[in-house]
Amino acid sequence: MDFLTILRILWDRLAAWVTVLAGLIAVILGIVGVRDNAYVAAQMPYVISGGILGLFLLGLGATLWLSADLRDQWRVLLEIRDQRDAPAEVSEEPTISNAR
Amino acid sequence: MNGGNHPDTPWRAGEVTSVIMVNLVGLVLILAGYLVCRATAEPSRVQLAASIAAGGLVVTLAGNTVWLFGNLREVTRLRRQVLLGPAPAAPSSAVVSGAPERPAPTASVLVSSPSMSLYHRPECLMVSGKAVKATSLAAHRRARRQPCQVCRPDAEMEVATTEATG
Repeated sequence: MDFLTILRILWDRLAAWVTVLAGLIAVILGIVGVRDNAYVAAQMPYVISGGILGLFLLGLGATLWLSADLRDQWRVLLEIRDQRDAPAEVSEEPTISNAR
Repeated sequence: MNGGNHPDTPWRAGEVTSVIMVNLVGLVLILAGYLVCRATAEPSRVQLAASIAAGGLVVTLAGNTVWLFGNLREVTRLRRQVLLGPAPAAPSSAVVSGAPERPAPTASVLVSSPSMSLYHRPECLMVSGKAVKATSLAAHRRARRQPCQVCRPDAEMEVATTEATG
C-alpha cells in the first residue's frame, strides 16, 4: 500500500496526530516563553499563543480521533446491518452454520 | 442511512460545514486575542484580549463536543437498529399490546448449543459465527435455557399468553 493510499484512508487519524503534536509543541513553546519573561504583560501573548492555541489544537486533534473512531464503528455497523438484512438461506440441516 | 447523509459516515454535509465554521471562528478569535495582546501592554486591553482568546477556545470546544455527541447518537441509533433488528410488518396482536414487532418464533428457528444457557433466533448477533443447533422451544425449556435478551425470541409468545389470559 503506497503512502497516498494510506493518507486517503487514514487522513483523519493522521490529521489528529499532526494536530495533537502541534498542540503539544505550542504548549511547550508557551511555557518556555512565559518562563523567560518576568512581566505579566509580556507573558500574556505566550499564554494565548502557547496555552490557548495549544489547547485548541489538542481539542481539535481529540475531536478528529474520536470522530474517526465513530466513523469506523458506523461503517462496521452498516456492514453488519446490510449482511443481516440480505436474504438468508434456509438450511435443512440440524446444525446451523451461522457464520457471517 | 437517511437521504442527506454521506454514504459511509454518520454525519451530514451540513454538519461538517458547521463544525468547520465553528472551529474557524474559534481560531480567528484566538488569533485576534493574540494580536491585540501583542500590540499593547495596557492591562485592560490585555485582559480583553485574553478573554477573546478564551472565548474562542470555549466556542470550539463546545462546537466539537456537540459534533461528537451528534455522531455518537447516530452510531448508537444504528447499533440499536443492528442489535434489535428492523421492525417488520407485525401481527395485529403485537401492535395492540405495544410489543416489539418480530415474527413469531417457531420450534425450527430457535437455536442454541449444549454449552449455551440462552436460546436465540438464528439471525441473532449473539450466535453469529457460532455452531448452533436448531431445537424446539420445548427442548430449550427442558434444558433450562433462557431466551436471549437481545433477539428476544419469546416476545411474541409473551404477547400471545398475555392476550389469552386477558
